[in-house]
This record gives sequence, structure tokens and C-alpha cells, in this order.
Amino acid sequence: MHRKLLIVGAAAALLILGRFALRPTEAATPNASAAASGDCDRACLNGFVDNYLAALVAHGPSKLPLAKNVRYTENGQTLKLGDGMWGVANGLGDYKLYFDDPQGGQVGFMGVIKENDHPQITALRLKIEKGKISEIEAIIARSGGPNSQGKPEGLVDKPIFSEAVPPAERRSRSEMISIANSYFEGLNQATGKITPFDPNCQRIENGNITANNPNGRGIAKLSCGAQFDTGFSPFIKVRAAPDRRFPVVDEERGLVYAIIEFDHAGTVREIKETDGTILHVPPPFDTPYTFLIGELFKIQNGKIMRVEAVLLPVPFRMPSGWAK
Amino acid sequence: MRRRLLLGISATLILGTIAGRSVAAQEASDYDPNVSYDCDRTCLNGFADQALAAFVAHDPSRLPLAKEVKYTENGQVLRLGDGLWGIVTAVGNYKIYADDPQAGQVMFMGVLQENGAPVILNLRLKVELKRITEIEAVVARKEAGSFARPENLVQPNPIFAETVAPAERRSRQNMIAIANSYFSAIEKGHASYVPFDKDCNRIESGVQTTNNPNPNQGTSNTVLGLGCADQIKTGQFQADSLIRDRRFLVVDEERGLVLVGTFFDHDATLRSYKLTDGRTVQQTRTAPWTWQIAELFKIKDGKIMRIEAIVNAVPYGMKSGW
Repeated sequence: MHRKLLIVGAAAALLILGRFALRPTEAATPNASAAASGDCDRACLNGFVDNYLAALVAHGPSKLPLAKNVRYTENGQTLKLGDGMWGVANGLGDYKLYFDDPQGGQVGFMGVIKENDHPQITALRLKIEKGKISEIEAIIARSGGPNSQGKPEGLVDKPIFSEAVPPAERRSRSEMISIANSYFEGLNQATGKITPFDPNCQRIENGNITANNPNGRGIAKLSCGAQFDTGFSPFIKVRAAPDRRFPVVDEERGLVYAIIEFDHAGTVREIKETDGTILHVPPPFDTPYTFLIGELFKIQNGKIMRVEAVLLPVPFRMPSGWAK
Repeated sequence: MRRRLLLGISATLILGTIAGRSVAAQEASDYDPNVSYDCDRTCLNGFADQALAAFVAHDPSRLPLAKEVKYTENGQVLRLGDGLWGIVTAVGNYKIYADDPQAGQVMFMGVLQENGAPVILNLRLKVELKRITEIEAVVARKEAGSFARPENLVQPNPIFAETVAPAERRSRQNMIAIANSYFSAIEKGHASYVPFDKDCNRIESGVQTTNNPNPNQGTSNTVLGLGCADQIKTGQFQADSLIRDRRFLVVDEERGLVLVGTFFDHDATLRSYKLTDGRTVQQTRTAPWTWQIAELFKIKDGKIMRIEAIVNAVPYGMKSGW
């Protein structure tokens, strides 16, 4: 029983999405937004990511086109460019996942970055304004040290994330955000009824398949929706806006990238699942701590097909450094 | 307001100068010449004990709080009632206090139970006009990434509660300088002079990290077997790249105690380094990491006698919230 909850908890922590981060002004004035982002399309945005990663492993941030007030956070901490992973990154893994939002001038990346040769799962967000990088937000699920989480060897290419969604099966930006947000609301309300999961939805968290895992045990074997249906999640509180952010919306590929915190206060000691089963909440969910999560949703035909997350445990209620 | 004033006045009349009961004291116009606004050691420790009782009762509202009271737990600003307040079930017997009546600050270090599991707490309160204005908690739990051993903390060393003979005391600034020299010597392994007593010993999160009779702890590294001074002289601490945001929070001149809040950053760029005996140490950690530390020094006759600290793994570069 403990095992079951642990896996679910990790899965929940890894799962995340949200609704209100879309800037209404940008949504309403795409032309102005495109101009602000310097008309940087998918190839252009991905180029910024590739240049960034090349500069990172060369320990050379000065080679990048940086805005004057560029800001860098790593796992929620504001660092100077050159510090943190900039000092130790010395290679890239094969796993690379890009998501692009030309309208918002933002691009995201999930992949493996080597720190002193040690592979680490990383989620990256860049904001591009007038051809320069103005915001850099890295979430790195470091393995092999304190708060170890990552399993980089578990990351294999999943073509669905880079496939374009046929125009008839796309949804508007606001609908996509609303769908991703319903994932977090489903957790908060401990129900599978309000989240449109595809029956084959699978979730990967830090390289571990934590939903719809054919080789998994307990709850990891269940699909995303079936997990939510159990009502397992009352010990998780997904933080609300402004902490719940949806900074990258890739309409063409049906991707929404959310950055979010799951707070576990440790006060919920017992859960009554939908079928009446009583679960005693085991460690570590009996002490206060938070997961900082970067979570990517693949949405097609209005359904969540895949969820992929990078997360790490951080001090309870730690902010991301970006909520406004 | 009338009701509050009346309550305050009656409380003051009934309880005199008992910590926290002079409810009227916060209102600037409510100065009462019959009330002492000083808070000595007994008074400060009373505030700490009240706070611990309030944790167990899950009820911060019973505390004499200033309007603008601020609470942090492991560097994060929380609302009172959140975090520890929701889950502390008992206070253990391991208790160390340090008091700074001049600055209105008090420290408690000890063991609590959270949902039945022992944790180590360093608690700092700032008390102004008999009201709590600041609460800072650093909690070390037995969890992934933590080496905390709260179960090892059974009886505090009595030296922390001993009064230092007046001739063996040092001024506040000298005490701060002595504590600071410890961090300066560790940072980048500079091994500069630190006035250690020859019997100096250190406990970190319940683990004896100097003069440990079982120093290898399963590794070939025997540095924990050395004394405070010899350990620094080996050059072991070169990977401590920055000891940052040092705050000297509580200075207890009478007992020779200094509480420091700080962060040990390790940028992980130094991959190997030479010890003073010529051996080369390979750094095994690959990623940058930070320890959040609350560290208490016992200083007597200008020498560091004991160090007791709480150490937490936190995201690299994290700030204290203060």
C-alpha cells in the first residue's frame, strides 16, 4: 500500500499543468506580439535553444545575444549567468525535446545535460524579445546528490511530441491551457471527471513511466485517467496562479508547457479513495515539502495524450522566482 | 479597539511583565510607565517555550505576535500556521537556548516530533516590545539528501548552558569575529587562523563530525576523526567555494554563544585538489549544491570550545528569506 502511494505521489509531483499564465494582451494582439518577439519562428526559436546549449557547455554565456536585463534562474534560484550548471555542464545527451511558441516569443526544451560528465534531466525555458534572450529558467532534476531524482537513462525519443497535430484536431491557445489546467484541478479535486485524458495517456516523470506503464506495478500500471479516478491525490495541493504558469503554448504540435509547484503540507494523514479504500499517507508525504515541476502536455483532439515532466523536491512552498 | 485596549490593560495589570501579555505595548500611544519593556534571558526563553508550545498546539494565535510578524521555514516565507505548525506533535528533551537581550533575539536548538518522527529544529525569535516580530525556523529531517540523525541528540553538552566567567568573556564584536574566522578558514580551504580550543568538537545535524571515533562512515575518508583545527589544516574544505550571506543573529555574551545563519555553496567546478599532506582528493559530487546552515559556537576565553549546527541540502544558491 505504501508502495502504491509513493509511486502515485511521485507521479503526481511529476504531472502538472495550468491555466492563467496566458497574457491576454498577447493573445488579443498576435501581430504586436510577433513584432515584439522579432518574428522568431520555430526554427529561429530552436536555434536559440541550440545556441544556448552550445554556450552552456562552453561555459561562455557572453557568446549569447542577451537582453540587458536578462534574468537566469536555476531550480528557482536567481543566479548570475556563468554560475550553477554554467560552471559544470560539459556535454549534452541524445534526448532532446523542443516546444515552440512563436506568438509568445518563448521556447522550451527538455533533455539531458551532462554536469561534469554526469547526465542530468533538464527542462529549459527561454524568452526571446527583439532577437535577444530576456529570460532563462532552468529546472534540473539532479541525480547523484542531495534531493536526487533523475533517471536520465529512462528517456527515449517519443515521436508524438514532435508530430504536428492536423489542423482539424488542434485547439485554441486558451483551450489548450484550459485542458492542461484541468489536469492540476483534477489533482486538487481528487477526481478524474474533469480532465480530458486519452485512454492511452502515458506519463513520464524524470525518465520514469509513472502512468500507463505496461511493466509497472500498482498505480503506475494504470492510465492517467484511471489514476485520477482512484481519488489518490488529496495530500497534494497544486499551487494556484500566479504560481501556476503556462509559459509555452505550441498550437501546431499541441504542446503546453506548464511550470508549477506541488505542495505537500504533511497534514493529510489518511485518504479515502473513490472505492472506499482507506490509505494511510506514508513518508515522505507526512512532512512538508514541495515539488518544483516543469510539465509538458501533448494535446490532440482536445485530449491529453502524453505528459512528460521534470521535477525536483525543494523546500516547502519555495517559489519559482517567476510568479508575478 | 476599546475591547482590545481593555484586554491589554487588564492583562498587563494581572500578569505584570510576563512575556507577551502586555498586549497594549504594540500601540505606540499605549506606553505604560508601569510596564518593563526589557526582556531578559528568562523572558526570552519564555518566548521560545511559548513558541514551541504553540507549534505543538498547531495554534500560532496564542502567541504575542507583532502585527507585521514574519515567519520563514527553511528559507521560505510561510504564513503562520503552515509548515511545521501543522504537524509538530511533541517537543523532545534535547534543548539548547541562546539569548541576546540587547538585540531582543533568542535561539532554541532541539528535537521535535513531526507526525511522530524526530526532526532537528533551530528556531530564532526576535522580540520587540514583548512581541514576536520575526520567527525563523530551520528544520532538518531524515529525508533524501539529508544526513540528519535526530535520534543521536539525547542530551546537549552542558557547556552550552554554562556561564562564562567575566574574565573569560569577549565583547560582542570579538565573538562575531571569532565565529566569522571559522567560515573564512573553511571557504576555499584557506586554513587561516581560527582560535580553536584543543578540545573543540562539532556536531552537525546530530552527527559528530570532529574527533569521531568511527570516522570512515563506510568510506576511506577519515577526516571526521580529526579535531576542529587539524581538520581545517588538512585542506579538506577547498570545494566549499563560497560561504555566503553570513548573519550573526544571536550573541549571548554571558554564555559565550554566537548563532550564525549562513549558506555553504559548492559550485562543483573544482574536480580535484591537493591536501596539505600531498594527497590528491577527487571530488565525487558532480553537480553544484548548497547547504543551509544554522551554526552555534561556544566561545570561552577567546577560544571556540564547541560547535553545534543544523545542515540542510537546499537548491544551489538559495537565499535565507532575510
